[in-house]
Amino acid sequence: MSSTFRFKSLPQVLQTIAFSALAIALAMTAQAEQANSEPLAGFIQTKIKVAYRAWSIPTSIWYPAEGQAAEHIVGQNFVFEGTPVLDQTQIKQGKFPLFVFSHGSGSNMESMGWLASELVKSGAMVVAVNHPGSTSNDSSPRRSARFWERPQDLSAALDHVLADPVYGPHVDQSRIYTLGFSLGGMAVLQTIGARMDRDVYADYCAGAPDAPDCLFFGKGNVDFRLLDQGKFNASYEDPRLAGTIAIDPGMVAGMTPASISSIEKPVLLINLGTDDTLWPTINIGQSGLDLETRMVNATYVQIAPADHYSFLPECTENAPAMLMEEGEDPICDDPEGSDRADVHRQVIDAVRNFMDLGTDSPW
Amino acid sequence: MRFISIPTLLRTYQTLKPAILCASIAVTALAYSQSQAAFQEQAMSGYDRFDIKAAHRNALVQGSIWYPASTRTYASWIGGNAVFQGNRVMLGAGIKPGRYPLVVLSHGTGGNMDGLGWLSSKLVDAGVLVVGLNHPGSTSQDITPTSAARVWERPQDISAAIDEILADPVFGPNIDQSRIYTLGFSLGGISALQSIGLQMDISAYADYCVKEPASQGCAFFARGGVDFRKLDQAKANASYGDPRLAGTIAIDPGLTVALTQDSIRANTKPSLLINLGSDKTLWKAINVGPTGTQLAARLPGARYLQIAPADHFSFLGLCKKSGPEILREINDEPVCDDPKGADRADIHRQVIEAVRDFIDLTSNQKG
Repeated sequence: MSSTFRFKSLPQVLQTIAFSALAIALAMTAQAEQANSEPLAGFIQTKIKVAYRAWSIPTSIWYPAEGQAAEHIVGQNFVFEGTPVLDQTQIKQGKFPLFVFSHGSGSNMESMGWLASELVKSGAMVVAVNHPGSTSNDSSPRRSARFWERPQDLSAALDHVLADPVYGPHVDQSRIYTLGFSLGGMAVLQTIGARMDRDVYADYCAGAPDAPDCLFFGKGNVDFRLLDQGKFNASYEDPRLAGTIAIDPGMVAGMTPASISSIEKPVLLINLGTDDTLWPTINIGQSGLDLETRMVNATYVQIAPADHYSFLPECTENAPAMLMEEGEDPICDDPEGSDRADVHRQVIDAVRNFMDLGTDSPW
Repeated sequence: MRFISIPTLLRTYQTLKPAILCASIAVTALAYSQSQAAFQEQAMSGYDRFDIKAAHRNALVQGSIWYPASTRTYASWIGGNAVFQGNRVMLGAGIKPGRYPLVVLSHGTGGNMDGLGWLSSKLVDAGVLVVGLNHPGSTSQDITPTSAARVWERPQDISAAIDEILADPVFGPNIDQSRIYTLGFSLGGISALQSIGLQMDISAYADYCVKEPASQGCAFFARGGVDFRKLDQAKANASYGDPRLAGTIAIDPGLTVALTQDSIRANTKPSLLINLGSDKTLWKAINVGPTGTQLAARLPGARYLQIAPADHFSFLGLCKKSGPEILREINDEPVCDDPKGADRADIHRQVIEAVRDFIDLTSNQKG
């Protein structure tokens, strides 16, 4: 069965092989000479300490690069193809729009590398985080239900980049956008003013215990009515944002109608699938939860044929068999007639159009 | 009283990587083929992390809980690294409802809660909930002698962890509040003893270090320039007894030379003291038996057990095959090598059994 929250259940074996993957990535960094025809994103990793978490937030910054540097593959593992980057090279001169990325439940920032890399090639910067408690190898229903932490992580990542003496000055502060997928789609809508209502969401799960999101939280004994209502329902709007991009956002049923209709910033809403194929929980078009018309300034795009998992990276050749053997969801199988690389290109184009970014590398 | 530096290990790993790469891919393939069978044969513990609010700390403290799982979520690896084996858990799974005894773990200097997964997972199998925490300033990748010397912080971390887990709406109601124990190793051993009310006279430890500057603990603190006489004596010597505790387990506890005779004599709670080694082999710094501080004989209600052949490091997790070689390569202490004739897995079994028996016995006495 497909579910919103199973899209990134990497087989257990992947945890074992983390070191092999690291080794492979490192082995490929051997000072590759960069071909000028294919400019790669510059890339650094760091960790951000925040007051509301005991664990720091793994963070990566992707940026237009200048000069030579070691090539490095980010996010390569036995299931997914990785993304090549230039490790810790210089940032190009100029001001760039900035995207703040929020991954889906149980996924990670590296899995959005295909998108980060292409947006950088269009002249943007990206900062991406791993949300503790709802990321790969640390995907807990109890902690994923703390919906108030993810939007704060995004604001903390933005604080970090803007305060950074190297990267901060390159951010065009009039063009800062959040971009999130699935659970991350909810988080980015919160960053532009959507507010959750604990009891509305609790009622929704009481009425639909088999909905994929409710099922996931139920597995961790989550009772939404026992969560901190003040934190749950608060606004996590970040005034520095110019807008947001939400792809297959989850938990929209738990958002207050008033907060949705009060959002005036431009929003790009993307659904992967058609009215006929979309899961009800993530269908935000007019045949579903209709954020399309309930938000004043929304642009809605359906990309099809595709499904929720099409947002994940392209898979390695052996991945489908491995997933099947592990009893995992078929996260590498796209719908009939669909090509994941092509779906990715359409997502990239939609974001570029929305942002009015160049489609070609600016250098 | 020492620790494995993960950054150092990683650096070493990177220098070794061409050799390790092939080996690790082979191991991976094997692990993959075995993983399915392993999952089906053995129920995994539930595991989740939580943030601990602690008024005496300037940041949230990292906590974790191991428990019998009632649902299948995502299997995840906990606590493994280049040297040590990890444990597989059902991350964030639902808890099997019950009234479980609780054991709160206090790791050793430079250790961490997840490194004790070999113990936590087996205690869960025996029907015990286990809470772990990472003591800021004396845990892996966050350790300085100066921070580790603040002996009053660790027992307060333990109490804060108990506060947090009892208040948790999911886990709290499943805890038998008459059966809460602490269990500490090495520096965590003294923290565990403090948690049932034993008090230090930190100047006694300063005296000891003058006489025994080369002993494991003293040498470690000296490297950071710690002068125990300059620490806040009131805080160091205060009582951190937590009235909610039913008893404690201390394994190779450090600093027991500084425990006051009055607080030892006044103790009424049961304790289990374990030394890993024999009278002949134990380091003086952690020997609580007849040839050491004799705490075992002086502490009312204490049971004492020596497990041998074994040494202090036998309490650490099982090593990976490549562990000893990596440690040799970086000239680190051979913490994967057990004494002649000792088998770490078997030592672990004996520790687990002793802890299980102790908890059963003390609860029977209570009941």
